[in-house]
Amino acid sequence: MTDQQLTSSADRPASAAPSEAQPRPAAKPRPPRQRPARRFEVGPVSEIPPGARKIVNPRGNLSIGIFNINGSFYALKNTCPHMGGPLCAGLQTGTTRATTTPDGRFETEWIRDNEIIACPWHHWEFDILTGKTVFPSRQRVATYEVTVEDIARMADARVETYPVVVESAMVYLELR
Amino acid sequence: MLIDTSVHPILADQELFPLIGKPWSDGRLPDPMGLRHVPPDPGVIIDPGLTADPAEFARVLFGERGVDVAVISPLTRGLEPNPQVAAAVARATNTWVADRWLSQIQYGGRFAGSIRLPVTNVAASLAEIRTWADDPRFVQVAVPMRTFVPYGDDTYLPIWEVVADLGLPVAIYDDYATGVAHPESPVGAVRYFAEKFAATPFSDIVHMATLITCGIFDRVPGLKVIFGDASVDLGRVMLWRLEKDWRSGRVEIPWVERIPSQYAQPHLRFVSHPEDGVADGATVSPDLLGISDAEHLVLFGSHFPYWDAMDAKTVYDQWPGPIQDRVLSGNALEAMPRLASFLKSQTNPQ
Repeated sequence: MTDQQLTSSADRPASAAPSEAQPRPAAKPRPPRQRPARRFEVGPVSEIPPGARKIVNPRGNLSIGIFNINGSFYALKNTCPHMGGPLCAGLQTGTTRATTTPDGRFETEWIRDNEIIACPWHHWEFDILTGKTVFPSRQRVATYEVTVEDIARMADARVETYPVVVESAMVYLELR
Repeated sequence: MLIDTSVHPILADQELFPLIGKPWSDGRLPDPMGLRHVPPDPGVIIDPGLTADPAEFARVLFGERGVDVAVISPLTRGLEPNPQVAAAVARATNTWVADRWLSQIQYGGRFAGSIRLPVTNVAASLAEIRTWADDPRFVQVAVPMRTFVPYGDDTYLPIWEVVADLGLPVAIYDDYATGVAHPESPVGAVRYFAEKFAATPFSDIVHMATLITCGIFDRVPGLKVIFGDASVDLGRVMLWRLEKDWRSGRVEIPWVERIPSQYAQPHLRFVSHPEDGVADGATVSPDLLGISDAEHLVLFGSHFPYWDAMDAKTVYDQWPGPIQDRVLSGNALEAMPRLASFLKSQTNPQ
């Protein structure tokens, strides 16, 4: 199992160091403001098989949906940027794209099966992989980094003569 | 300059029948003024005997009202189910317009024409376009507002492709005549003229919605559609509604690649109406013009000689000058590119 690294709108770069070209003597150099990454344990991989999702509350009112799409994990804020609906509880589906027949008619083609989440309130469609709306807009839902780590655990072998190594993996949300 | 984009001579039976040929001329067609919902006046504001007289139109429009170009589009006889009759009526109407109006040099080339299309017969519509499109005096095509199938349907695609290539916008006008009559409203037939007058133009914005949702403009990028009856304010309301619902229903119509209101400026135009809030300069702040984008979307049209005809002098006198200019002529020149060369060939009316 490999780590899943996702670019995310939530992964804002650390604030830039003060410009060297124009030092401002009066101002103290501001250290990069970066809260320590907070890791939240979502659960074992086996709990979210491909096609499944899990909604967690890592802190306070923050609700986040974690999706397993063909073995890769993605996380979206469970708040639709449209009207605040519980986006991650919506229909996980695909979407359509237009194709044109030789005689100029439009037809629909089903694409991206399982990679789109549609808000249960108004069916706004979002790309689970990027948090962007499927239609052109400036709105997007926040995404978060998800990591999967192998944990080698020594199982207690009471029956067998030899100890057994069980391979397991945990899913983590990397919150910043 | 003043371009009147909405002038409707009435082609009465005695002139139409000799032109439509046998066997149709032996039969009857719906009355041009309709048989229900009679307007407050007998239907026109000039003497009904003069509703098809170019000299009378010229006197009022060019003489009294200072119109420089009048784009004429006779209404026809309602939604005609027989495709051969529809074709014959369109052919007769276009022949009449060419001979009796456009070719009369005494009017100095101030009448421009519309090619009437029998839309219930796509093949005949294409034939009408082929017959008349080489004549630069025809500056648009005209189609009826009431249809069997809305204009977004693929049925009409071959027509839209051809007219867009020729630089001919499509003008939609409701016939007064009652052919095959759908109820005027989705909840049934209306009772009074006041209801008909207010409700019927809603069909225009249904056409508008289907043109957008069916992706006609995505496939025919050069197409411009002029709504003769809806008014810009009604159109804008429908665009707002489409815009809200569109994101939710997008999965059905993935070919719609822009936010619905973004189709307005490139593709949609509305003839001016007394019903437009924006048309009443005395009571509406110029700020309100921006809401409907009337500055870019409205073409002046008087609807002469019908009873609700508007005179540009009284309607637009309080609008800011540049907006007035666009609405009175600039937008028409843009929507009907053939008008430019048409204007060059004008002579002084005699």
